[in-house]
Amino acid sequence: MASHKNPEKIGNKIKRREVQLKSKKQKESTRRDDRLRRRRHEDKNPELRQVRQAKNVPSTIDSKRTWDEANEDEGAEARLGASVDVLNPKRRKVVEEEKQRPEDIDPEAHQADGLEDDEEAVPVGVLGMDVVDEAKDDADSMLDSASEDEEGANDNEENEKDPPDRAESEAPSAVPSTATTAATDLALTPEALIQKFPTFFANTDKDPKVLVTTSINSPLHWEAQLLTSLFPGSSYVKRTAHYHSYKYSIREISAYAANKGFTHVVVLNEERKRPKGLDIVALPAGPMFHFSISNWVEGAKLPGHGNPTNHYPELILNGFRTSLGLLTAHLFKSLFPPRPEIQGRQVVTLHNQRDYIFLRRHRYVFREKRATEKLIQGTDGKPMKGVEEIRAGLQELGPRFTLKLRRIDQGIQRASGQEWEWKGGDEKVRTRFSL
Amino acid sequence: MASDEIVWHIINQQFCSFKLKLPGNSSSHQKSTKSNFCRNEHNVTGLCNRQSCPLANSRYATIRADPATGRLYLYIKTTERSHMPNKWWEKIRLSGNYTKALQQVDERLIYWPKFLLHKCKQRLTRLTQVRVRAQRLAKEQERLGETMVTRMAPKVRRREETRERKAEAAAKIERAIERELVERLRSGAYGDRPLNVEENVWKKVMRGLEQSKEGVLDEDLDQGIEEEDEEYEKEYEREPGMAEEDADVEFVSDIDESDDEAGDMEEFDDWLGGQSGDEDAASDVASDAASDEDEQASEDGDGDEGDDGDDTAALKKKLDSLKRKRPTAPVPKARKKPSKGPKTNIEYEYVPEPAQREMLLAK
Repeated sequence: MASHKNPEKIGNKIKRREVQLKSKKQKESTRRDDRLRRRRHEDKNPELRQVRQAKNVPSTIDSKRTWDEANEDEGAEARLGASVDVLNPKRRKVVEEEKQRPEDIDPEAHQADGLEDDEEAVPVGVLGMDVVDEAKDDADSMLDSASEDEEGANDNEENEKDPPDRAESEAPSAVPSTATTAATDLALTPEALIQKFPTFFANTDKDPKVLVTTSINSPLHWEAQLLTSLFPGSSYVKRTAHYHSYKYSIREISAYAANKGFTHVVVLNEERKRPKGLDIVALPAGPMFHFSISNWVEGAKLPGHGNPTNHYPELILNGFRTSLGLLTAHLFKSLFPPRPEIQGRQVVTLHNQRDYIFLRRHRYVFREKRATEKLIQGTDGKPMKGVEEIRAGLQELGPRFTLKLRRIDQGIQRASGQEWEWKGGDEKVRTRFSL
Repeated sequence: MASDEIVWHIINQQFCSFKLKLPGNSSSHQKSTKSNFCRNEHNVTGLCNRQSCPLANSRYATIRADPATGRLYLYIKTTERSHMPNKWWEKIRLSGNYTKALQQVDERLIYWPKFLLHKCKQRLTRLTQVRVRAQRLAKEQERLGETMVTRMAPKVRRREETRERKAEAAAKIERAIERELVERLRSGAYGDRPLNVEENVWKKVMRGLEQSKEGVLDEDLDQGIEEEDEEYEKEYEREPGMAEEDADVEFVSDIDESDDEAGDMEEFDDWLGGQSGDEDAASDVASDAASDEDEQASEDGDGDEGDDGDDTAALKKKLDSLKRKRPTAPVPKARKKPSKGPKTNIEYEYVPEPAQREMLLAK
């Protein structure tokens, strides 16, 4: 022990402690002085602050996200690995086709379409300009709405300088924004994925009819009722009549429901009297999605909550990037009626962040910005143009919970083969996400 | 044979690694009082007895099931092979049919002590019952699908909880929602006259859009709109929380009224005559001015609104005359519009932006 004794160390513990506290205070105080001095300096000259902040962008896991390498073949898009879709090179090809599809241009379908990440607006040169111009023509189009003009315009300028440096890789450009959350543009699902699940992606404009039930012998009747309030056009049927009754299996229930004209069967699994999982069957015989639920909080327990009405809510789907993510996003989209009642001012948000899908339900109101409030920031951190005087107030309604996708079955239940299954080994790398 | 006694003596008196002694059952509720068990897999009864011990009997028979396939086998040990321990047990596969299996056991164990034969048959019966029940359960499981969901390993569970917490912190969900909603509003996804926005808020959005998007395009042509907005700001005090398009009561400042009233009257004839009549009945004149400006503003995108106006003209007369028409699209065009000057038809051209800003702050 004598050989690696610290010569600086004071032997007296009390004294040592005092000295350490003193030095810590000293350090903190110098740092604080520097910080406040800098703040005062930058208050006089805000540009300095902007320059400094632009230089010191903190890196987040989302900005460091790693992707699996995807081959350029068509199979890559349909493979439910962690390849990225809706990205620069691919979007260039896809965007042209998407534009011409008239059925996508639907001014009333205010669903999930919004701007994809800033990465998408990369098109270089002539191609890019075509994209943006066409967007201007479709004034009502929800596709790449006018939002693309504003945000796309920003990125266009930035990215047009970048392409020579960046290879034609799948990696998203980290330059424009560090935040990755932005609405998912479902119109950009790759063709291969659609072909893989033809009935699933079949475009029906009819309202969904959802059958909500629970696992066998489950006591979660109230929670299931809450789910019926969440999904419009849904009804709850008890799974077990009594303990000795015949237990219908999910396959049988799905068959009956499909006959009766239901579009989805939602099964709420429970553990120890709490919701643990959500299984959603896309009828008939469609893929079955298994989610696990965490942090289920019902509306009444939320502070400042509101009570939902039965208006069809709008839908926001954020952050679904891979083909797996797009599949899931399409599932959620199909669970809600395609034409929301905007006078209800209710919105259901499914926000995917690092493979965790946060479901929230809000009632919103557009109101004037108070003097003390900040401006709304876009994904790039800069205030959004054109809406400097607006804020949106949100009141949370109804249940909130977190979903995590665990498994997708080709048919119904495990025996029918799995499209994709969650494995713990996937999460070994902190920066790799599947959705 | 002689060694059996010795073996039993040792097993019973000294030590047997297969012996399991459990506390005897003294209560009268439970049937059996047995307390000595044998964990040897070849034991036919499961109890530690002189007759049941497979080690202490050189002639022994038992029934065992193959765990993988579920088939039942008859294991026979004879004295002749007692010097070759790796060949002790003769394994005979029994028929799947219960009665046939019984007959097979009978013919194999003919002339054997009744005890072993009986116990083998009993074991055969029990194992068949177990197999049937297991098959039934498996079928039910298979029909119902997944009733067994494995628990998550605690390390994984903890890791996921932490990651979820961090993801939620990184997500800033409410900000994203707000951003997306405002984006939809700004991009016009809600249509020309959104039902989910108050009028003044909507006007602000449109004004903001004009300034950011088209402000560059037509500065000259856009005065009218700028002026219009200027007017609006004074009449802005609307009751909060009204999501309806039509306000019953409006609070308007005096300044505009006196200035614009007479000036506007002259404008009425220029524009859509039918509709100006509606606004005449308005007691609140400034709102007339406003709605008049609306009329003027909507001339270009007038198709819809003109029709609407015609259809509902009568209705509007009956209804609250303070109804304001909402501007449809920000139309850049020249309009003859006097502002705060004397009541003439002179067209004033000025840059309203600084004035606007002041007004915003003055409020």
